[in-house]
Amino acid sequence: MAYFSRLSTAGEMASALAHEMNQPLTAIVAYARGCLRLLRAPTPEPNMLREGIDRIVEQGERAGEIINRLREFMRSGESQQTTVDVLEVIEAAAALAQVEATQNGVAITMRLEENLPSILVDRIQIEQVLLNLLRNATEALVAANCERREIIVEARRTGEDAIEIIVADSGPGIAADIEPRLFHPFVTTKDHGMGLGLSISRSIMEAHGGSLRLIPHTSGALFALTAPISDSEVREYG
Amino acid sequence: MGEWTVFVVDDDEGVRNGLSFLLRTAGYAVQTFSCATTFLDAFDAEQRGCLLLDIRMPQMTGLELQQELNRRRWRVPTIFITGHATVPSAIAALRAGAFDFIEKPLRDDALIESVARARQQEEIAHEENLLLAETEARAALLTPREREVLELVAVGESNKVIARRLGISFRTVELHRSHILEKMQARTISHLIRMAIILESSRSAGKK
Repeated sequence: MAYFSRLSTAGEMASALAHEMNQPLTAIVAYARGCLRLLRAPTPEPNMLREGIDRIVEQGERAGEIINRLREFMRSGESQQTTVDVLEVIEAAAALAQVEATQNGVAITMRLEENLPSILVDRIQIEQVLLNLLRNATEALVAANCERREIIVEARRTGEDAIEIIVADSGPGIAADIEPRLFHPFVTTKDHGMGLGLSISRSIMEAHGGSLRLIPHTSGALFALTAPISDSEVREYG
Repeated sequence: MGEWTVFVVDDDEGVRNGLSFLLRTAGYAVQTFSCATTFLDAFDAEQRGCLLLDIRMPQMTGLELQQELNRRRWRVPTIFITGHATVPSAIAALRAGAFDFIEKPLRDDALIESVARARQQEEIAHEENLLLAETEARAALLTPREREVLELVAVGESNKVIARRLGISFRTVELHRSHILEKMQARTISHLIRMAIILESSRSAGKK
């Protein structure tokens, strides 16, 4: 579980989580099926049954432990939130996404407003969300074999207390049948995806008091995330 | 050499013990190993059973272990277990000689049924090997001339034709034939022919 925090995107995190959860589930199912077999015998062996049930409980607790740790990780406790420069965090995520983009002939264009105020977020988590959006866009452009492969990242102030970051691509957009369920867990259009990237990304943004939405657009996919502007005079921590 | 055993190799202790528990309730002897290396260290080609392998393990993966066993010529039915089955991984496993491919968590009685089929297959192969070894031991007693006669008998030639082909008398062929029947402990001619076919097919399999 410790390696969750080192994973670069929410998608990878989801894949690791699925693997982690599958282990105790497999053990539980194996023990439970074994117990059922024992019960079918004319005189079931109580000691072996007890062993099986003890292990079911143990593995169930292990699964709960995994979920708890994930929750802790996702909850992004306020102590982890710091004042972060918007441009810095966007540039850091773009730098990570750039390798894959360049390999696939995808250009990432930045249109960032100057003098944006800082936001109050968990830096690593926001980077993960942005990276996830950039990778999704890159993969969509490659999968659709688009001729024009462009991703535009915009950042601007929206209203009094938030910053909006837009990630738009020149790809085919989101299919109409997927769109209503896009942020549901386990919905994916990729061959090798768990369908958890966007659902976890949205949870992360909401835990920050922000949001993540798909904006209707004439072409391509356009995602907008908002994050709260840091206001240290109002908020007191510690 | 001991009981027919299911060898479980999985790096996850919970999964390993769970699988072992389930197999024991179905009456199988089970040995568990936490990684490919500890299994290979304990490896004994005389042991009979089947292998239950997690395809995704650190260090040596299930596929690599299967390849190592192929290299060592240990023919044991291998059942792969995988958390996230993909077509390419299934193809790779089956190419490496996997007997079966099971997904985690286990559906229905897939595991027990697969192990039962693996056991059937292993037992047939074992019987065949015993029969071959016994037949080869008997054939080793034959003289080169008797072997020639046996090959012609096996393809259904009459004593007359054999005598002409080998340039020997009819009476000598008859004599060779009775020695062959005796040395091969053949009850009938068709029994002898069956043994000749077993020898022939193992020879041609060896040449490949």
